[in-house]
Amino acid sequence: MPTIAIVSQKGGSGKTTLTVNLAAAAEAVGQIALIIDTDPQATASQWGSWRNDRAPEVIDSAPPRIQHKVDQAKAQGATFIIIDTPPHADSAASRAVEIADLVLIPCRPSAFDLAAIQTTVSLIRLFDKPAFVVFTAGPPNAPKIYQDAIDLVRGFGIEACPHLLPDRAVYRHASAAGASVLEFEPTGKAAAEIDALHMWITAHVDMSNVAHEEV
Amino acid sequence: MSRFSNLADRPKGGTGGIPVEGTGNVRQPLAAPSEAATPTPPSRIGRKAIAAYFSPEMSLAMHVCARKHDLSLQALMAEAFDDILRKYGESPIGG
Repeated sequence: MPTIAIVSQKGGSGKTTLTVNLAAAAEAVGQIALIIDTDPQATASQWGSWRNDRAPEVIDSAPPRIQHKVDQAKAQGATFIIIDTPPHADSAASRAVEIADLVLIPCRPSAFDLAAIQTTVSLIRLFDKPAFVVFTAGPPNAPKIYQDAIDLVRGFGIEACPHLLPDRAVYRHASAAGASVLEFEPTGKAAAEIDALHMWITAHVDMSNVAHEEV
Repeated sequence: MSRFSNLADRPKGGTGGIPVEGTGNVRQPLAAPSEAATPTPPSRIGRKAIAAYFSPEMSLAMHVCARKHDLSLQALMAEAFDDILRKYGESPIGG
């Protein structure tokens, strides 16, 4: 029952897009997903209301109540919980990181955006959580850019997720229709990329749970 | 009936509906709870706010420090202010 925190101190990095689509991918394989929206702008909640609250369900939360809601949601059957956080919100971000089994940091593969994740990295170190940078909104075919970005991220002492989510117009079209990319274009590239990322997350959380049990 | 609606802070419904075609990309923020309608919490009655601007690193470090010691940011700042008053030879106020 993984709890995933989506954290980035930088705005416009694709946190909510990543959140809603990963939750939809979880639902698509039979998990019971819950999105906890801690952003006062309530973008994920807006998406939920556009789709008339069809699953994956979105609830809001003030930072001090996240832990309680995660516990309660697990008791009510949630099997994939994903916490969306606002940029520049240390209280929400630190609570989300504290609770999460895995932290994902969406980031555009650009020097400005990458420099801005260092604050997020220091937060993750304080709580000693497994975390990965997920490159979002970059060009689809630019191996050199991604290699440079991966090297830069490693320089900060954090690993990049092997699955990329390049910019694709379908994210905008799907969001505007209150849909996930899996629903909007099930056979498209974005849907395949989100699916692959979701499978990787599930495998990764399972593996780290096993590793912890062995210790 | 949705499974987790009991966990929401704000009741759902009436928050925007399906976007009108052509304006769907415009993210309309939800109506913020009215400030005026919120009564002053008891913890703030008779007290004054002191605000200042710091680097994101300082903000993060203070929030994390407060969490680590199970204190509110308010309590941590009060402690810091008393410490600095002592440092400069003043009497601590104690919150």
